[in-house]
Amino acid sequence: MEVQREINNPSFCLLHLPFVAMKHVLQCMDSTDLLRTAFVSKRMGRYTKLANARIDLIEIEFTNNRSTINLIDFGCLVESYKKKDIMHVLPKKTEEILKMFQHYQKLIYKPKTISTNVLNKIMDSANIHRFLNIAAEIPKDFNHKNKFKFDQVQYQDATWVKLEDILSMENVGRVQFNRNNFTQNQINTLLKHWVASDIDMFYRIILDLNDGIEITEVLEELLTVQCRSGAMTSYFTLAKTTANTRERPILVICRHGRFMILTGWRSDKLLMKGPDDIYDKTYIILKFLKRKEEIKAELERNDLELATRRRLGEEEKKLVAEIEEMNVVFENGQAVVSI
Amino acid sequence: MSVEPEVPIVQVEEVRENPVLYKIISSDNHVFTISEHAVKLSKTLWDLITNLGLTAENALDNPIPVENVNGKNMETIVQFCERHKYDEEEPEYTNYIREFVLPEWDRQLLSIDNEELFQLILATNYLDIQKLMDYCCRVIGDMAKDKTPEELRIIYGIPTDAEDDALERSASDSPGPSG
Repeated sequence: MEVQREINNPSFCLLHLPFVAMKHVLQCMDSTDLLRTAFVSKRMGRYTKLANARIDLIEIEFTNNRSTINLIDFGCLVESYKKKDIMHVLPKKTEEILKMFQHYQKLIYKPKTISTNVLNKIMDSANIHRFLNIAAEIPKDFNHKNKFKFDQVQYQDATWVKLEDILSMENVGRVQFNRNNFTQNQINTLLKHWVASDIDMFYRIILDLNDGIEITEVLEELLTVQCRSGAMTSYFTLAKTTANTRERPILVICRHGRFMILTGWRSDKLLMKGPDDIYDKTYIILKFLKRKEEIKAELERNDLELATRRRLGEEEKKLVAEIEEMNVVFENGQAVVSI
Repeated sequence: MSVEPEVPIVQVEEVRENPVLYKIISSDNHVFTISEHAVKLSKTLWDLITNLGLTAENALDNPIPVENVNGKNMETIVQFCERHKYDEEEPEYTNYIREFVLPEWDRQLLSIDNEELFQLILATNYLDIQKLMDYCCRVIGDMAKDKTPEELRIIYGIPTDAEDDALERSASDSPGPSG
C-alpha cells in the first residue's frame, strides 16, 4: 500500500502543514527515519530540532577534521554520516551539534588533544545521562563540576586525575580511567578508603593499573568471598561502615588483565541471575563469614563464661554448616564459590 | 425522539445508552449526524456545542456549520469518531515520542491519496481530534520508513538548500507592501 501511495503520489507537502501538525508527524517517526529526515535540508534540520522530536540511537564522533553521526541500533552501526555529507545541516559549533542531537547515546571525542575551552563546552552541553568518551590528551590543570557527573564517562587520558578527585567522589555513576599516574600506594589508599567510606562513592570505577601494581596486599586484609566464573575471579567484601548511608554495601573487586574494576552493589539487587543461585547469596555468605570472625574473636577471650563459650561454639558450628550448604569451600582460609 | 437526518451520508451504527444526536453541516452543505459520544472526540465541536447550549431536545433542530471542512473529510471524520467513541482515554505521550500501533481498520480508512490526507490533517487539526491526528501523522511518518534522505526529499516535497536560499532571496528582493 505504501509503495503504491508513493508511485501514485510522489510527494506529500510536509512543509505546507501547519507547524503543529508537522511537529506531530516528526514525533511519530522513529529515530532512524527522523535522523534521515533531518539530513534532507538545513530547513528540515531546524524543524526537527524545533519539534523537539527525539533522535536517539546515535553516536556523535568528533575527530580531527570532521564530525560523524553514527546511527546505532541494538549496538550495531546502521549507517554513518560524515561531516562532508551533512555539512549543510550540521551546525559548526560543537555545543550546537550536541543540542541538535541531545538524545544521543554516546559522544566520542577522538582528536589527540583538546583545549580546556572545548572540553568545558562539552562538559557544559553534553547530556550527562549519556556515555561520554574522551580519547584526547587532557590539560593537566583540567577541572569541571561535571567531570564525573555523567552516567558513564571514559577518559582515555586520566593523567590529570588526582587521587583526591576520586576520594571525594559521591554517588558517581560509571567512570573509566585509562592512562593514569596512580602508584601502588595510591591504589591501596583508594581501596581502603572505598571500603571504609560512609557514603557510596561510585557505582563502578575501571582503572588501568600501571606496571607492577598489585591489589593482593589490600585484599589479604579484607574478609572476602572469592567468586570464580570462568576465567574471571571477583572478590566480594562488605563495606566497613556502621552507617546506614551506603545503599551499595556489597563491594566487588575484580582484576581483569591490566584493569581493576571496583563495583558497589545494592544488597537487594545482586549482580546477575545465574544457573546456580549461589551468586545471589553472596551477601548472606559475607554476613555469615563476618559473624564467624566475630565469634572467633570472642572465643579467644580468656574471661568467657563456659555457658557463653558453649553457646558461641554451637553458633559457629551452625554457621559453618550453613556456609557449606551454600557450596562455599575454603582454600587456605579463603572462602571460594564457583558459578 | 427519533429524527432522520436530511442527507444520511453516514449512519450512526449504534446508540447505546445515550440517544443524543447532533447535526453537522460541512462547507459544501452535506449534513451529517453524529452521536454525543463520538462528537466529544472533537474538542472544537464539543466546545461549540457546549457554548451554544445545545441539548438533547434542540440538537437536531440546530445544525452546526463547519465551514473549514468539506463533506468528504467530514464523512471520514464522523466514521472515525463513531468507531472510536467508546475507546479508553489515551495516556499522555511523554518524551516527545508517540509510540502506538495503528489499527488495521484505521489504516484502511486512511488509505487515501496524499492531497486528501493533507486536507484531512488540516480538518483534524481544526477540529482538534487528538487520536485521528496521531493516526494521520503516523501514516505520513511511515512514508519515511527505510528511505534515504534523497528519497525523503521527493516523498515529502522538501526543497534543497539552494532552492530554499533562492526562495529566501526572491522574498527579500520583492518589494514590500509600501514598495
